[in-house]
Amino acid sequence: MGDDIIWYRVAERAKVGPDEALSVTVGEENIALCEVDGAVFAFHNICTHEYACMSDGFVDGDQIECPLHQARFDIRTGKALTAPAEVDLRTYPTRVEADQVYVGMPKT
Amino acid sequence: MELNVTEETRWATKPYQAYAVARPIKEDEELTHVDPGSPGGEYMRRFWQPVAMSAQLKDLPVPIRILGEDLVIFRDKRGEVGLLGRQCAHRRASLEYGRIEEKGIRCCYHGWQFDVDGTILETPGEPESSEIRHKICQPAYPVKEYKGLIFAYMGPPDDKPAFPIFDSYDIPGHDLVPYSIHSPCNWLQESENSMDPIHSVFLHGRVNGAQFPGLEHFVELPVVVYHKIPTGFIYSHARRKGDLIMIRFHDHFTPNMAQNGAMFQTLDKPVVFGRTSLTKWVVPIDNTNSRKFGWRHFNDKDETLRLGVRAEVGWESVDFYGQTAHRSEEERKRNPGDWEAWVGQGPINVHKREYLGTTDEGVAMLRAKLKRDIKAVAAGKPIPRPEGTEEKPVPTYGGDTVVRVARSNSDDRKLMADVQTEVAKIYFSADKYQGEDRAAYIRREVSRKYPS
Repeated sequence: MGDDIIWYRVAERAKVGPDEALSVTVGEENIALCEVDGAVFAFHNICTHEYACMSDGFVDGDQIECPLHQARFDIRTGKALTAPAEVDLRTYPTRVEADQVYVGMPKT
Repeated sequence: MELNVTEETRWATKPYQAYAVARPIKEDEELTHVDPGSPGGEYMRRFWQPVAMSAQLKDLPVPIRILGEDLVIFRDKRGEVGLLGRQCAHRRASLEYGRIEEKGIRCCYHGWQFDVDGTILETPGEPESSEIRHKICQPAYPVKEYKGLIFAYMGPPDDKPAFPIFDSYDIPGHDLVPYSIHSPCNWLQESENSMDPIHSVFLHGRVNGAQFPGLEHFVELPVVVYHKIPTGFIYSHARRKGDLIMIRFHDHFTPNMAQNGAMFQTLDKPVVFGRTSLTKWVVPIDNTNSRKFGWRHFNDKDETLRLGVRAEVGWESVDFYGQTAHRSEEERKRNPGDWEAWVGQGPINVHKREYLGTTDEGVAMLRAKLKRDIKAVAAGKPIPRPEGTEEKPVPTYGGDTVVRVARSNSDDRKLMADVQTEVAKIYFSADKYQGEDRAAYIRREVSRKYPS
């Protein structure tokens, strides 16, 4: 465990699935959780193109689509894959322990 | 910099740039098309849909077109309703010219007679020994006549669900009056209107003046809270009037069923768990036409303004503003209503050419859910469908609740969101009850939390 990361328990593992992203809040941050190939990934829930919650959008395997203009992002890396998105989504490290999902946030 | 127009060009991004978007792009076929075998069509066929009003069935067959299929509907002399393929199984003459019999319908061309389930009762020109009537059937769909509407299930027979009963079908004191109205456009853009609480601010308020008596306060932008449920969405929108928070709940059961609050109501006094005055479905005729079927709920309890007009509710007519084609062109331009809004989007709205904003969160969520369920059906996976019986109907939430909560000095919009969420929690916790028990529980718990 890095010294610079604080782990926040955000959801039960069973609530995170591969068909839809789950929205959780850590402080002021709105974070999306989604499962790809059995692993849990976390990324900032607000699209980088316009204000929209990625957790309202369609999930297609390892890609998530913004509900407003269908920009696609890679769930694992946050990378913006299609127009109109140009900026990648910020991602966060995750851990699963005792059926709970933890998201890592920097200490500062 | 040179403008490079391609098939991917979605928007004009500079002044005088209409050239960029002059070439049409295809609509989202997966979401909008409803033909037999299409992904959207296969999805919609998994649900019971209203297809006719009982009042349409007199002593002649009625040709109808639903989900891109040409059908005929009739009531035989026994009183049984039949919904058959329009073309006779023999030589494909149209059964709209058929003769209604004691049992079923007889084709005019060679006299074949069909029962309401499609069984061939008679092939009169064939010898007695003919086995034809035992080998084939007229295509037929199962129907359910209920409170003046006729529903049909047009999906695969082995996936037919029980006809779901929603609790709003039987609210004490409510009289359900059926109606039906045509819109010459795709079903989705009409149905999306019900997942768009913000349009009410502008179309029904700010742009040309208030359209619904009692709901003049709609000119204010509300605080909206959405809840995703397996079978669709429940959402509420709230506005403040002094120390009252006026909350309006909506049901949206995918694909195409919606309910909202009371039609003619002032919402200026505390009330808990008012019920809906409108239950409606948007049923595809084909890809570029849809027909609304529904009930207006006439009652004295939730309709405080008593402005409903029963005589105006029926075929091609309803008693609230702007829902039909039947106004002059000038009226429709000077004060357009819902009908002008969704029909004006075009025969099939092209989503790629839209630019959604924060006002369109509901529409965006709806499309994502429809896409998910359409793909699930295409992959042969089960999807959640509402299940309810007379004894245990599907709980619905559409209606108005007005509570007394003083304005917050710091963030009143956040307060209004939190109050809506707390009221919704109480509503959902009452799902285990039915009928008056459910209403009494909700009223008690909400009044306890927010004493008036």
